Amino acid sequence: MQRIDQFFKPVPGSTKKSNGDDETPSKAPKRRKPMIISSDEEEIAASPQEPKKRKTNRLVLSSDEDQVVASPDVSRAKKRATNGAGGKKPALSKLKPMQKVDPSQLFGGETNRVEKPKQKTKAVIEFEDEDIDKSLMEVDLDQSLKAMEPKDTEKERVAVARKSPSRKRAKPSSPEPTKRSSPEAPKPKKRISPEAAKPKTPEPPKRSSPDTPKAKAKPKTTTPRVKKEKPSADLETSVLTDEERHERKRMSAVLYQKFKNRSACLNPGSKEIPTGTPDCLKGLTFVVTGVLESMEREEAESVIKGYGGRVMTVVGKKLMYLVVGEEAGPKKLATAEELNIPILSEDGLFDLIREKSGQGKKKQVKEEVKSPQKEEKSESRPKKEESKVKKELKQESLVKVEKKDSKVKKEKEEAVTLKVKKEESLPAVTLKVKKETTSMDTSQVQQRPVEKPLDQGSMAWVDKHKPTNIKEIVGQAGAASNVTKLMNWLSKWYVSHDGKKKAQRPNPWAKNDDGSFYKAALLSGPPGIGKTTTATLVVKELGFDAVEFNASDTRSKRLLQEEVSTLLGNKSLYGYVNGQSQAVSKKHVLIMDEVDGMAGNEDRGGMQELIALIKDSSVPIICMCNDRNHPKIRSLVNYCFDLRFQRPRLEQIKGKIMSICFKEKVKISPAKVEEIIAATNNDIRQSINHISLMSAGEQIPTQSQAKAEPKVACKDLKLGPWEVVRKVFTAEEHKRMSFADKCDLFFHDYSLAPLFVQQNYLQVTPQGNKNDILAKVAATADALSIGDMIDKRIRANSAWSLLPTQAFFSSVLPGEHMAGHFTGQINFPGWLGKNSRTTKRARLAQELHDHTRSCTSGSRLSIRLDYAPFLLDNIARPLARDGQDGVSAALDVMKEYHLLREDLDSLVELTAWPGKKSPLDAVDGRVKAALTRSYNKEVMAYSYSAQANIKKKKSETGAGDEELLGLEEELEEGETNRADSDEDEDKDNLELDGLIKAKKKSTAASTSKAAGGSKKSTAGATAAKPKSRAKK
Amino acid sequence: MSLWVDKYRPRELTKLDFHKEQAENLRNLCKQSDFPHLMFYGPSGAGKKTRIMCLLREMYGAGVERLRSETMTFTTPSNRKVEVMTVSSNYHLEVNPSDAGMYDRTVVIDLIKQVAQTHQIEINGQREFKVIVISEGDELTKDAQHALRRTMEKYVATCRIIMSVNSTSRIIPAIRSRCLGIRVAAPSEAEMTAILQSTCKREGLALPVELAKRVVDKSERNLRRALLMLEAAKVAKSPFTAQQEIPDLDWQVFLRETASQIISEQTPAKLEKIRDRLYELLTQGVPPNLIFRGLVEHLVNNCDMSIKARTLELATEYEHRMQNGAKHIFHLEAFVAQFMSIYKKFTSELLMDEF
Repeated sequence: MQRIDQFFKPVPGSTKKSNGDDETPSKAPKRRKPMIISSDEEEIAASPQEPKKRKTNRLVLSSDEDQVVASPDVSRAKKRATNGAGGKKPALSKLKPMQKVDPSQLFGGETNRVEKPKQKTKAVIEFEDEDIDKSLMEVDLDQSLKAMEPKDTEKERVAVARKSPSRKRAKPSSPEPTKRSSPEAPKPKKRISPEAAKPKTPEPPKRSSPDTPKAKAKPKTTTPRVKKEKPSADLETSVLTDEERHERKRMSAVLYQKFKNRSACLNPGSKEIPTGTPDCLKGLTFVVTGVLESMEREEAESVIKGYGGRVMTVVGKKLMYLVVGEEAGPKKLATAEELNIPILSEDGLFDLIREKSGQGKKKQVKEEVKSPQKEEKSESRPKKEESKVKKELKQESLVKVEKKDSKVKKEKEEAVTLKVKKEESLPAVTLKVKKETTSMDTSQVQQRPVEKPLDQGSMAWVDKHKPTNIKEIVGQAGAASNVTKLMNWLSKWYVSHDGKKKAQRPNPWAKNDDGSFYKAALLSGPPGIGKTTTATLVVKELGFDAVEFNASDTRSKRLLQEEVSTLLGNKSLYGYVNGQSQAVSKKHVLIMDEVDGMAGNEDRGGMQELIALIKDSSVPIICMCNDRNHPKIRSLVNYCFDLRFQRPRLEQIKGKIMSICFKEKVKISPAKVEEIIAATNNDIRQSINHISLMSAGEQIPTQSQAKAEPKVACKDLKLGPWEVVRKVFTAEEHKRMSFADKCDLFFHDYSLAPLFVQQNYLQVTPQGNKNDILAKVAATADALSIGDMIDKRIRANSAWSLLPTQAFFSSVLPGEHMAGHFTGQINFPGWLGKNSRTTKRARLAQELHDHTRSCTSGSRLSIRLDYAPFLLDNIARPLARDGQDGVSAALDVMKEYHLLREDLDSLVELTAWPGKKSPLDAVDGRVKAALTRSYNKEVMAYSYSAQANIKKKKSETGAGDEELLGLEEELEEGETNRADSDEDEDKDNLELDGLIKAKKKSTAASTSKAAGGSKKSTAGATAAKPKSRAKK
Repeated sequence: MSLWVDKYRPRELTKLDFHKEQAENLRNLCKQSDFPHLMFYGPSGAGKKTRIMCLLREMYGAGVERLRSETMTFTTPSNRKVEVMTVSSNYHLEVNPSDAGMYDRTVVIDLIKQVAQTHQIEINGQREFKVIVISEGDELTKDAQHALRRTMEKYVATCRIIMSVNSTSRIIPAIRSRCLGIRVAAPSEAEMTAILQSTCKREGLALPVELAKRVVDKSERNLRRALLMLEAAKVAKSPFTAQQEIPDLDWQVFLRETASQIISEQTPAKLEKIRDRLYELLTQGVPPNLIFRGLVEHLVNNCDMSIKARTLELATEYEHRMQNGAKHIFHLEAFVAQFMSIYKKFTSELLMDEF
């Protein structure tokens, strides 16, 4: 229905209100072109065809319109004009009863258009018109649907239509007629081409320049005047009115058509919406009309509203700015001109925002503000032109009536202009409003996905407030900071790597190494703390040119080889191009960002190549990564000057954030900033993003948001297990927590949480009666036991849906039972350590079992629980009792049970109980050494010996006792050579040992070794070692 | 110089000290040309392994005693290498698949196929099949047992399986039905005393009957343990006296102390100390069910009749939970906490009554 309305609106409007009517036709040519270009071919084709089909309809319609037209009451017309929308309704109501046409026919744009030609036929037809119709029919018959031709014809039609009134009235001149004076066919084409090329360029504000669009704009304003006279002329010449009426109708239809096909904004998002101060447009009123270049109208309106401006729909006295776009509503423009309202283009609006928010405004604003005046000037000029044109036309004119008309016009023209404009404005506005609504509909449908977020800052804060020099980097101010280190390293790089001297590889534990040995630096640390910033700034500071490769570049071996190595050989022209003093620099730095992202097929072999590159690089390389301990990175670390970035402290970040807040005029409490920083785990970048987000939220403050904010910050916090346990058991925390919150605590780390709870629940002193404590403890332990069962079920059956249940039993319930306060320290769960010790001992027992299996009968368990203590006792007893003499007895037992020397240590560990002395403790160290020695000499290797030896070496057991044994082993190695030589030496050695032993045991061992070594030739000692090994 | 247990272990079926009738039956079994898969079951220290070795010797001769140990490597389907130690002679192969933990299925499949597919090298050997001895068969996972049941049938021509298990309850019925079960019950006290006496005689020692009886009592009819204890007692005090002290096993002492500590004090702090002691027991490889048993025995002996039933009830409850759970300490601790709670309540009520 709306469509019908819109279609008919203009018609009655036009008939009654000459002004409104004329405007539309004048616009029509302009509008129709885009429509044609978009070439709804059907439409074009349909128009000629339909006349035949729908004759009856048209007849009816035409007659109806005749009626409307027939009563050309000036007064009535004016009435309608005043209540724009109302004007249409009567026409509609009249139409409806008359219509026998089914609505569908009326709905389509084609039908509308079709009707007009019909009317033409009905009306007294002008010669030219007929011609056009014929040509159209021919086109139809040809079925040639080429866009151009129909366009031409249509244009011709329009042109002719135009001419005709002009001829009739002699004066109603338009810029078009000037062109039309030359042969008709080519002209339209010409007009199309420029428009097709730049349909949107003619922005209203730029009208001042002599452009075709402008010229068209003028006709709009001028023609109205012409039409004003029509009512009077109507009486005189019915033929003319008829023709005009039909013309208007067609124009209005075209207008509608055009409106329907109105394009959405041309380049959505092509321009940056300036970020102004929040209320920079406060108190200003705007009307937006036409299609803006980079924004949807809604968008523009929301921008204005966002900056505190008010958006109106009607151009009135209160209006302060009219923002115009392509195809702006002519009436609005006219009224704006009249009321001296500044007309802004889209750019103008932006400049205004910038200006008001204190940023530098651009020249354009001024231009735009001026534009209204210019327009006025331009208007006056065209008028003159028009008159000239009209004169020419007059000569051509064939029909007398037209002359009369023109004369009448001439007379009235000057006087009426202003009034006409005023009257004109209203219907136009109504028209516009309608159009806007539909355009919104269509544009919303089409453009929604493209729509941009409202407050799209020109830059993210993170980039905006990026440190610009090294002093601004957060937490890197100290003399020992990474920045300083990197600076030093980089500045000395070319000196220390000039190929002359070879620096010594520094001790990895050296503290004050300047990294001069390394050709590359590795910056490692968690994200968001300024590694990349540091690197780039340092490079900048030192005047190096950076070549950066990050994870977005493929960094496979081949690529690195080819690209980087060639790149590094190049000289940078950057300085030259940018006109810096240093024309061509040779100093490059290769920045390999995100090296830990070198992964997958793409970057295969990248790391090796990078290492190779570093090895023979002629430029410094800065690598960056997050996880220094990643296996892939570990190989790289050896070739890099290792700079580890720590997270800056909270206060350091806070300072930076507060200054940003100040700059951005965001009010935020320091406590909240702290909270946010803590929530982001001291990540500067993320903190800034959070603040930015919050500030964005503030611009359109909704109550719900404002309320939710403090909570949001809380929720973002990730708790460590210690904090979780504290919360689980602290009664005060419980007051503020719902059941779900308590469950959530468990989910901070659901694998560790139960262990932490189990470890620490006994540290809690629960509230309430002291006598009940044990009952509470028991209940807690019970809940934990159930929780463990659930845990097993979850892991064994992958029944992860049980996790909440486990949360209840392993965390919530204990918390409920034991709610109170911690009296002791919260400990790390002991279970993990105990568990690994359990497995280790189980492994030892397994080995022991394996070794003794051929001569014992027991299972692993019985070996461990029954045999082990007796076995150890049997070995240790002779040693403890007889010292050196007991060695052979002990060795016999070991041989009997196929034990390795290492198994003795296992036995010791497996039989160790707190508070119980190991039987081997009573044995003198030397005796043990002797045992080891003789073991190595006598016992043949077992099939599992070698393997056990390797294992032993790998897992160096750390117990003090074993350390001693280890030492003795060494000692023994030194002494084996001696042992086979003669007893005397051995005794000598023992004496020596005895002497030194008084001081210190360990030194005794080492010195005895040394003594052994000195007595024998060193060569002999070394030769002995393999011997002893071989025996094994 | 090996321990007495190993030194005086009988090597032949005829020399076994108890279950002699059964030994005779086993001898008869060997005399036949063929024999089925066997499953020896009985408690630890009853002589299952001894009987198996005797049986093998009866079948293959002294050759089976020339043992060698080898490490065999298996690759699991997930491409993990598992090493399992085997002890073998020319005629048999002894393996404990549960050494491979959860990968025992792979061991069972690969090993048995490997052995089964190779025929006896020695044509003169008395038997045309090899024997695979699977020790700790009840530790096998269900998967491994299922893998076993098919191969047991398929390769019956080339290999026999002798399983040594503590309890048949953990063996799936399919395997149980494929094996001839041979129950090796723990020796009676009289038998044990006799064995101890004879051992001492061979060592040239005089063993007082009373001491022997105490050793037997203490060893819970575990012959291995009894012999080990006796030897330890000999070391402690050489000419035996009737009243001499028999050294206990450390873990048993520790467990007993733990129990008495529970009785002595019932506070959260004490519970924490108990937890540490329980951890210690667990890390030393004392099976948690043994811990449960030890605790309950001592606790029940030391508490009033009225809470004994409750204690036992709790113990069964938490032991059951422990079997279904993953972390033993949770359940042990819960049991201790519950016991502490009821014991404390009991004692405080007792005090109240007195006032």
